Amino acid sequence: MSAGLHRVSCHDRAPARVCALRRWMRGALPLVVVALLWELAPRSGLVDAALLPPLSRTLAAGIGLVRSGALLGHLWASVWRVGAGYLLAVLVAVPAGIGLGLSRRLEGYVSPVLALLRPISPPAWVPLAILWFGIGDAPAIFIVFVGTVQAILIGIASTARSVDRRLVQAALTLGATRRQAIRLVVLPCLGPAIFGQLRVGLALAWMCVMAAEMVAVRRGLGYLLIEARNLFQTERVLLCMVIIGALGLGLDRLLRTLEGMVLRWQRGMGADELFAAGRGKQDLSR
Amino acid sequence: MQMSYLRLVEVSKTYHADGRAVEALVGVSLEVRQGEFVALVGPSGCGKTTLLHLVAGLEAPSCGQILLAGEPIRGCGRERTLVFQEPTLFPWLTAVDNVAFGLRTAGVPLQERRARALALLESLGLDGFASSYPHQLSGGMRQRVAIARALAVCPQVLLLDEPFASVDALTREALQEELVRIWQARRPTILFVTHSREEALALADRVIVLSPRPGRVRAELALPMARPRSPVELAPWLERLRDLLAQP
Ligand SMILES: Nc1ncnc2c1ncn2[C@@H]1O[C@H](COP(=O)(O)OP(=O)(O)OP(=O)(O)O)[C@@H](O)[C@H]1O
Ligand SMILES: [Mg+2]
Repeated sequence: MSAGLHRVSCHDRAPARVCALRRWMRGALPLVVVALLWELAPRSGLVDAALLPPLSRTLAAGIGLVRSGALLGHLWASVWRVGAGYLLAVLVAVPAGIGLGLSRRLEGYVSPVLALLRPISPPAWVPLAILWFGIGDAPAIFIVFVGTVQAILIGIASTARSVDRRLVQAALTLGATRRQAIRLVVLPCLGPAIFGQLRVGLALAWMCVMAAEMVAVRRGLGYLLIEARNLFQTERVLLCMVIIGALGLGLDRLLRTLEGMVLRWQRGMGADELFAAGRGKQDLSR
Repeated sequence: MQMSYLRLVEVSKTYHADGRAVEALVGVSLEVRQGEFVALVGPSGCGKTTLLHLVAGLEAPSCGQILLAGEPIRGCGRERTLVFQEPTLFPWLTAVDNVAFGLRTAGVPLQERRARALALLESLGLDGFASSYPHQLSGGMRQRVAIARALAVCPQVLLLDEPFASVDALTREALQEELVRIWQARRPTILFVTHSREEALALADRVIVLSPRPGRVRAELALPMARPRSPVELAPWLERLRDLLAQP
């Protein structure tokens, strides 16, 4: 009937390079549109250029900062805090989450504490962090840590509870010890969930570091942001926001690439393919 | 007569779910010789899977005892492997690594366990699919991988829970032949659960008939004939088995 029924998705026929290019373009297109709007709307007078300076002016503000070397310093300060706090959180939360998910008893002890801590948002930790650690990297790292650790932990614990018991039983009948069953079965079962939580955690870590840097330190992107606001430098404010977004995006991409390498076995298992546009009805059965 | 190797003594199993007690097995006693091929048949829900899980050590009996070579079994062990009723291949491992899993937990080095797993896959007609993931295999192929995985550790007791339920008649026959060949070569003790009367009679030395839930041993049929057995030969047995299963 229609051409749509016979159209073959890129996935099936096109060479890998063309595929990758198309995927890349799909991601870039909305960005280009947003960039164009950002540039043209203030220039055409559609919005007030004082409130939203055009993209080019925003970027130009960045050039000065880069030349002076200040931007790199601020950037590095933020990245270092996020990295340290986030890594600490991951190191604690992943094993603890698995343990919590597998042990009812442990969960009984710990979950009230977690429930109590959960409503305390990262900015609410800032005053305590300053009292404890003073001003500098330490309070910021602390806030990143407390802000991400429980989110990752709770996410992993809840999926660890739902690991397919048949697979664990299969391992046990094949002679696996409890330890081996956890390492060789539970951990790989949790792989996708762990990566999901790591990505959520990384985004959270960026939010936390901003909250911390707006008060507790004199360096970092968050500080730059607040300082720019105090000086009414709208370009700089926007610039910082763009940088924060771009950094977050880049790090997320990095995690996804890693995920793709570690979880190779998942390829071709997801339901997403079934809904791909242009796929013939017959293919749905596969 | 040879001494029994696997003994179930008055084994009962009661499950407790949502405050309700479900009796799955009541007072089941069973003696199995070493190297014997025993088939278990009975209506759905009569406790066949439960019985295999008890022997595998995945669950403990509520009453009674299970002895292997005179010793009470304690938990799971490599000498008793189980092919589950549902597919339980590890989706993140290729076929060959699935088969090699038991050897891995036993500490066999990578090269050796891969080689042994490959040889097993080959003997089951899966040589081209060693590096495929389970989701890339057909249902029948997956079942063969699962059987290979259970065989790889050279178990004394092989527990098979309706292993050929999901394959077509032709594949089924081929797999049955393959199983008999492996059994004759290695002589594991086999407990084989099946819904198919014909299958039970074609394969087993002895067929145990369980009553509807709660499961008890209702009858035993000892089949002295050599394999392969012809349908003509089996016709009278089939008649008897049908009668036994039809009783309320
Ligand atoms: N984990 C469990 N919790 C509660 N009840 C259970 C559990 N496992 C099995 N049962 C009950 O025990 C009875 C026997 O179940 P079992 O799976 O052993 O039957 P089966 O003979 O293998 O049936 P089928 O031929 O359909 O596979 C059933 O009534 C079932 O509801
Ligand atoms: Mg069953």
